[in-house]
Amino acid sequence: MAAAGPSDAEIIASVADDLPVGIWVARAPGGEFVYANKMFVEIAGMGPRTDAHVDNFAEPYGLYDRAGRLYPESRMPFVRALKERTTVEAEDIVMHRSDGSRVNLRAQARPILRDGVVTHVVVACFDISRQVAAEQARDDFISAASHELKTPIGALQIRAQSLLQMLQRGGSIGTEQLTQWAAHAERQVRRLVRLSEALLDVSRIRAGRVELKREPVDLAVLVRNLAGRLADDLPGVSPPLEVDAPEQLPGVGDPLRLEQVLINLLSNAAKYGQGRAIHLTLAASDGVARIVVRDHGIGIPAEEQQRIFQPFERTASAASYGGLGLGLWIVQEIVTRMEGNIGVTSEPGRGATFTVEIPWGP
Amino acid sequence: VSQKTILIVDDDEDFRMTYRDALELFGYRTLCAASGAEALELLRRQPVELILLDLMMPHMDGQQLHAILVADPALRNIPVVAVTAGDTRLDGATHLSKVAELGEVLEVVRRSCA
Repeated sequence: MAAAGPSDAEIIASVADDLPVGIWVARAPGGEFVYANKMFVEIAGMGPRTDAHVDNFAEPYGLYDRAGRLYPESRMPFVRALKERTTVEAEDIVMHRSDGSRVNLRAQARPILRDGVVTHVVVACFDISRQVAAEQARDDFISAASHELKTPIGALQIRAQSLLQMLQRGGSIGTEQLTQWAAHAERQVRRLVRLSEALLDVSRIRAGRVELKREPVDLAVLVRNLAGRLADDLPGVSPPLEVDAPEQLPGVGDPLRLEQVLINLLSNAAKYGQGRAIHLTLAASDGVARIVVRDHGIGIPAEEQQRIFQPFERTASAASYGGLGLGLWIVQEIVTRMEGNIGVTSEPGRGATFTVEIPWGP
Repeated sequence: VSQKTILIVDDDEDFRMTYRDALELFGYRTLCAASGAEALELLRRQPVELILLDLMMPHMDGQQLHAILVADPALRNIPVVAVTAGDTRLDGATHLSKVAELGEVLEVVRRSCA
């Protein structure tokens, strides 16, 4: 038996202090402070306020609702637990700490009863800031997705209604113009298809259901074919694209997913490339294919270069460009599934270089 | 009948083309600008009766361009119709949704033209 170290009884006596949950205990009925554990102090960023009580709690602890209003004492979980003699939960408490930082709290309060009388109340609080941030990111994503859908839908609608109106008025339209209009409408449909595919990819990736086909593919041919019809696939912009690829690069892979990786990287290069030329290089050595996409656009600050691979994330400078913030995340997921890797080097204002390496061979 | 000229400012080429084609079909002249800077350059060269302005654009967004227009005595009287996909609003401008129907677009344009 180990001689040193605390006994079980000692640990149990002090366990509340070491719980990974903020614990705060007050006396009934006034709510005077009795006890706070280490985690509570850590979450609050300050020692317990002995001056806080049922009528004055939100202010000393800096507790607000999500809209930024001081949290009413009457809705405070511990106050309700005292009055209602039941366990009470509140999820939307935001603690404004004295150092200016904010913590989202989920607080649960439970009355302690002895012989049917409430003697104390115990509050457990959890820091749910990370979940709240994830919810926020998802809300932002839904709003961005709706925004992205509106441009092609709006364009299709105006196009179709223009044509109808004109025909109803007995007007006529030349074959050349009609062809242009139809091609333009088709482009909007393709934008919508790509968007819905990207949305579907989110759930596929999250559920781990991205399945890769394995079939013979010539990566060099795939790259050149793609480069040839890229203007159709990049919405809005078609900067010069310089391709450097070998004659042949046979291997085994999923051609659609490989195209998706290339299209996502190239459309980013076009989007943030300020109209300047894009370089696409394909090379292979030692059983590894290396795809390099380089642009000369706005670039990515060093501190944001890891974040861009996270879902729903966009750099501050990219925010006004529109888009879903999914492209690089999807690329990384596909490349990882291919047992490869992706990296970026960039300097703000001097463009970005994305390098994808995947095992490749016949 | 003098033809009204409308400046379409949107970074999305598909959207510019759609509005250009539709407005020209219904008798308007159009100019297109892909950015706020391009729009300013065009405006300093030729008069327009209306600006259809996308609020969300990189570099200089619609709000910033609008602020420049309002501060410029030569440009401040041109009516602006803000086209928006979200909840952003522009003081003193008429608003049009990115998914507005053609009838509404034509009505707003007709009413707003200088």
